[in-house]
Amino acid sequence: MTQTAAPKAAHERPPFWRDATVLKWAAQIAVLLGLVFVAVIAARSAARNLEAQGLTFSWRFLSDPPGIQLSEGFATLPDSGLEAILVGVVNMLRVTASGVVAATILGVVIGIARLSSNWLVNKSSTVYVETIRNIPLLLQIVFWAAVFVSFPSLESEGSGPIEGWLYATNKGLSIPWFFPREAFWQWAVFLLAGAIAARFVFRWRIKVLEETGHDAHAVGYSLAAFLAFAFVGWFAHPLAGAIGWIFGGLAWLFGSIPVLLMQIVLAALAVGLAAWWIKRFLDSLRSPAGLARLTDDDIFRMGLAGAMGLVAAVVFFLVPGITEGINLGLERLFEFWDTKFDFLRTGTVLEFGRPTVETPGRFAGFGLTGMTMSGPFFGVWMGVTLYTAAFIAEIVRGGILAVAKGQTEAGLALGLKRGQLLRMIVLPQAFRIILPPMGNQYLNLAKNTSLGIAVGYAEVVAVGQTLFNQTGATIQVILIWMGFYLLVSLILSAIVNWYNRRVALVER
Amino acid sequence: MTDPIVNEVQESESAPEKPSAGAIRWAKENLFSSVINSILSLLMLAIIVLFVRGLLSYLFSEERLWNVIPRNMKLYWTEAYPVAEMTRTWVSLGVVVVLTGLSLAVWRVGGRTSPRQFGRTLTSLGIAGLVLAILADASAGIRIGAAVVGAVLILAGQAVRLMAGPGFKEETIHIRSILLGVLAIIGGIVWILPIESGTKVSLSIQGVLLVVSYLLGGLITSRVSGGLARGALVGLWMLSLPVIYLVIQRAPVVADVPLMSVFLPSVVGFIVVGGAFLWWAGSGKAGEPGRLAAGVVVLAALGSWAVSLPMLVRFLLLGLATFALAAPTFGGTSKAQKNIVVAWSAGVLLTAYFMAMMQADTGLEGLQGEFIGGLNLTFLLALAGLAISFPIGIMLALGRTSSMPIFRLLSTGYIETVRGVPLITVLFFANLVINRFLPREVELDDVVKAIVAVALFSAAYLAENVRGGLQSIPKGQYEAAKAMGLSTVQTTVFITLPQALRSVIPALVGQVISLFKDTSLVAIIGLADFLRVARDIVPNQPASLGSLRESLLFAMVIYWIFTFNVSRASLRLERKLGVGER
Amino acid sequence: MPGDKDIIISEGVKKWFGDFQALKGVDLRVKEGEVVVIIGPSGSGKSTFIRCINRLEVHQEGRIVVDDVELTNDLRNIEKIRSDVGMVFQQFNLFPHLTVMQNITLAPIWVRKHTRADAEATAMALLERVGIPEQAEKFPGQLSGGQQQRVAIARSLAMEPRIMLFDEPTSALDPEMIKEVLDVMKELAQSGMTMLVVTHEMGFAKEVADRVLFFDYGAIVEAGTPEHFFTSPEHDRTKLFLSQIL
Ligand SMILES: Nc1ncnc2c1ncn2[C@@H]1O[C@H](COP(=O)(O)OP(=O)(O)OP(=O)(O)O)[C@@H](O)[C@H]1O
Ligand SMILES: [Mg+2]
Repeated sequence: MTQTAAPKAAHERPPFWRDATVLKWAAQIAVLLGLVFVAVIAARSAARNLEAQGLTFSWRFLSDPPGIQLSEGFATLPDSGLEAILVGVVNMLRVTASGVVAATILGVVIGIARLSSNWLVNKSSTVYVETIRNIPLLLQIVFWAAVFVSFPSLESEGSGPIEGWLYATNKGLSIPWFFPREAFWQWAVFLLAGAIAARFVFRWRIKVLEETGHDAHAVGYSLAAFLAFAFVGWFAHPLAGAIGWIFGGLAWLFGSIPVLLMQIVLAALAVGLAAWWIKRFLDSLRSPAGLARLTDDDIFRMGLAGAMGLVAAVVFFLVPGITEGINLGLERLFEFWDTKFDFLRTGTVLEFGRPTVETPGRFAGFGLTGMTMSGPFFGVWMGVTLYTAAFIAEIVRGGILAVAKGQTEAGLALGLKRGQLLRMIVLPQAFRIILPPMGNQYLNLAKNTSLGIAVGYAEVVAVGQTLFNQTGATIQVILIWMGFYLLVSLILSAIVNWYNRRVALVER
Repeated sequence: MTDPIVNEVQESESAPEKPSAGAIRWAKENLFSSVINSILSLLMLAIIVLFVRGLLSYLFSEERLWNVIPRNMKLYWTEAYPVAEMTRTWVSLGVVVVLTGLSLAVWRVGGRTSPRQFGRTLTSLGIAGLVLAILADASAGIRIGAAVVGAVLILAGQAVRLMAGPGFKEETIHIRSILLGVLAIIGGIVWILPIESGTKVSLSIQGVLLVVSYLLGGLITSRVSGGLARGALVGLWMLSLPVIYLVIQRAPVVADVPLMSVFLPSVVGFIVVGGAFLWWAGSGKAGEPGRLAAGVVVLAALGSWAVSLPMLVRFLLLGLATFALAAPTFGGTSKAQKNIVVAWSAGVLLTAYFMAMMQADTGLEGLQGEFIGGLNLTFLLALAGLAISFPIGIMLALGRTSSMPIFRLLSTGYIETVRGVPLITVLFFANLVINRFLPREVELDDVVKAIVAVALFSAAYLAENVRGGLQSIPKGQYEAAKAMGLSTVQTTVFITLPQALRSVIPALVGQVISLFKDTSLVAIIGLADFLRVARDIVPNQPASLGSLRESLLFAMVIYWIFTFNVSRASLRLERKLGVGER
Repeated sequence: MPGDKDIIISEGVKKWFGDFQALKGVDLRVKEGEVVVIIGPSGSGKSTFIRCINRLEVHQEGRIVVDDVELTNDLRNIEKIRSDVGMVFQQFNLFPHLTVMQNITLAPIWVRKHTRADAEATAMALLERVGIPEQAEKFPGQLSGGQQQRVAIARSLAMEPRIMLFDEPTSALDPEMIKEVLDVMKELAQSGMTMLVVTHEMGFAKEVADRVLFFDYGAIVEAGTPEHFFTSPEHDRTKLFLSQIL
């Protein structure tokens, strides 16, 4: 609503208490002030209550030794609170990643089975979906963990179903595995390069196919390219050590840059980002005919973006701790990668390990002696996998049905067989419908791993709880939790959005 | 051969109809239509047989401690509720049963079913019994019993179908007779089961109550207009929640509540002064002074939280502010004016009553910890969570779709933040730190905190569902309402919200089911809900050690029964309302 | 028949959508009781103009005065205009979840603050006037297009407006239903209602209109009596348009 009245009518502005625009903004600002008022009262009582309990709000627990032990992870006796949380993060990501893979496979199979013409297959998958999604996930996780406990106990001899290869005991489920060794990351660079090369080869072969009309073996060619890189890398991996230099240089840069300089850079970045956004916004309103008339909504948006940029810039200057933290964090990160890629690292890339059992009935530690899935991990993993699979199945089914209606007729008219139809026409299109809700399910899965706390799986929430029980830093830990999960959500939805936009572009 | 995949779905969904056309032909069409299909069928059959056999052997194994479950029914149901006061839970159940019976009659739920359908159900049950008898690795007694029951059911089912015959397809059985039959069977089973005789009697009374109230409901519908009966019932259902939990089960002792010094004056004052104020504000002549006065009341309501005032006054001020804001929109005629004042007075009385009940100490004897637990607590969390989250969710959805950028920003921020974090973090927040942010004199108890957390969490998801509905409303609806002179609030209340809610019923029911399942998370923060009873309390009793998995399976079945039936009911409702076929 | 008073005054009304100018200075005076028909090619701004008159769209420059009330951001004025000006849409825009009766009585009860009994009596009378009293308890989805449009007209009339705006009221109807709606509109015109009608029904324009306006590119290109218009149009664009449509 623009209030650019005609010059003649300028004096006829209504009194402010009847002016629609004024009232609209007055109401909003009043509510905002009300909320600020509530927040101030809440913060005041929080401060008073903390004082009464003799607590202070500090982040020291992140660097102090936490004095806690975690049931599993890369460091079961972490040196600092931050490391403890990182252990939780890695554990959470472990179960999330394996859960996503397993749930996708299972869900797609069941989703297709839901549409099968075979009565038995169809009904069984329906029963699966209707059973699983109507029982609380927490109950399922607790149940699977309880099932795990009822497995036979681990003795040094004769515990596993297949001695030395597979153990299913109440101490864990252990299988042989390939373990990354010293030079793994150097090799990984070659794998990445191989994947990129494979992509280009694939495109090239598809083009050949389109031009010549003959089968160009696109998949075979690209696979060969990838394998070639992997093979060469297996021997030539020390070359990738050069990447270590880059990281080393970056680490040095962030280690020696003065805080003031960094503050200026960050503040400039914040302001620049805001300015860039505003410029883009204005451009979207601009056309050959000139700039459009701005509504109060447009002005508010630009004002907000500008204010956020400025506030961020000011905060960088007022709280140098943030900048110091960023510097230190980046330095550590790059140092870490530097050591991973270092030229001087020598050794193998991968090593094969089989599970071994020690005498008092336990697995011989983590690492080279087979991969062991602990009971809590099993509970969470089974739970989230089976549960999410039921929802994915419904999404897949819905997606296929949505496409099937019109498209199959066209396909049949082209003379495609049923299998071809599904593979070439229905599934690719269904994929577009399916992907956004699928991303949502992955996000749910990631959030649901937080239920691991109920069966003692050391993920972020469980570690956080142990940490605040020990240190009393409850509010801080809850802030960390929320920040972490919001970050995960943001990243996942950014990926889905990016993919959607790409698909939308291809469609045109 | 137009649309293979869709055809298949329809075929498969109507598949159970087919056996009558010839079991062999049916099997040929649906199981062995091609070589691959046959292999798939056999494979699936093998898996199913193995799975069912394993499951049945597990369930009927001698090692299972199933007797733990009937023995601990009271724990599952109410956890630590004093045994001496159990009548109160039976009365609560009775209230629900009576309302259910009335509602079944007034809404004519179910209506009629065909004998063929009924016969089919009986036959399927019988087949399940036979399968159990064949596959279960159980004692001979159980197997023979199952076989006999199965055979009888199959015979009965076939008999019903034969009697119905193809010529009588239209004939229907009234749901009332089936209800009675099922009740009779359940009644019989209850008397066979090894439970206390007091429970048997109470359960039987509930059954009688259900039948009586159903018949009564039928009587009422024939006398009173449907709309009135339904409105009254909705009101009763809403009231039943606080009445059951705050009054019946909590057994409040009002002796310590400052009835004379705080409650009486506040109630009288608010009804008289507030009523007079609303009378004026709703007269349609208040104009701008009316708006100004409403603004002052809003400020007073906010300010009341900064100074020390009785809780009752704070809440009543909030209510008065809401009414004052709404009065000019909904008032105008003298009848509307009267309605506003009557609604206000009733609201004041109810608020005061329930707040008095809340502030009163519980008079339950021999209570340790919370007075509420088990399934009872699970239901409270789900229902109260729903009741609170619904209005918040609608407000958030309206905020997110509003033309006011600050409201949009705030609502979007809230919704996305809450949807981005897991419920357990919200529960921890509520349980551990929310009290720190509240004024010193307010100390929420654990159950209330859990309800708040569940409601705030669920509101964000509800908001997204409602938003979907709001966005599906054509722009023309808003324009027509505007052109007729309806205000924004009136447009929302009369035009857009009703349509939006109707179009998202399936999504809303899905959200309600999630909410019900999500309440189980309170077990993690130490509340004794159904899951916690099933997982920690029952299996850790000396007499029940080693029954963890039995107990968990039982819990699964109970959760499943509720959620599955709710989702089925929503499907029926959806079909009845014809959602999506404007 | 038209009276002396200018009930709608529009002076130099301009309106932009983003960078697109939809109205480029519209000057118009409508007398009380006058029936004005607006014609013009698609996208010429006819709808935008009449929607400005009851402020469904907000004009950015110029002045609109309706019944002595200038359209500004003043809430009181907007309220008054909305209840004085009725509007009928191309797509009917009935409320699908309310019965015909509820559709018609909603605004009289909640905006005009009539009692329900009064509002229902008026509604019944209006339904009789538009010829469908027997449909009162049905839902819009159960009616034909022509019936729905007549309900929409009754719904607008229930607010006792002094001016009625019609935006292509017959464009979404099958030919056999157009007549029943036009008949209602003719009757309304004869009863002395001020009407602004966007339509392509030239027969209606010839028979009922006091004045015809030709819109193109967001401005009035030509205005005159129906006779003038259909016998001796001046502008080339008008001629071209009429030759295409007649
Ligand atoms: N909300 C809007 N946003 C942007 N442009 C709009 C909007 N409404 C209308 N327009 C543009 O304004 C111009 C005039 O539109 P208007 O609807 O008034 O045309 P019209 O003369 O009624 O055409 P028709 O006969 O097709 O109804 C059109 O070019 C249209 O694209
Ligand atoms: Mg138009």
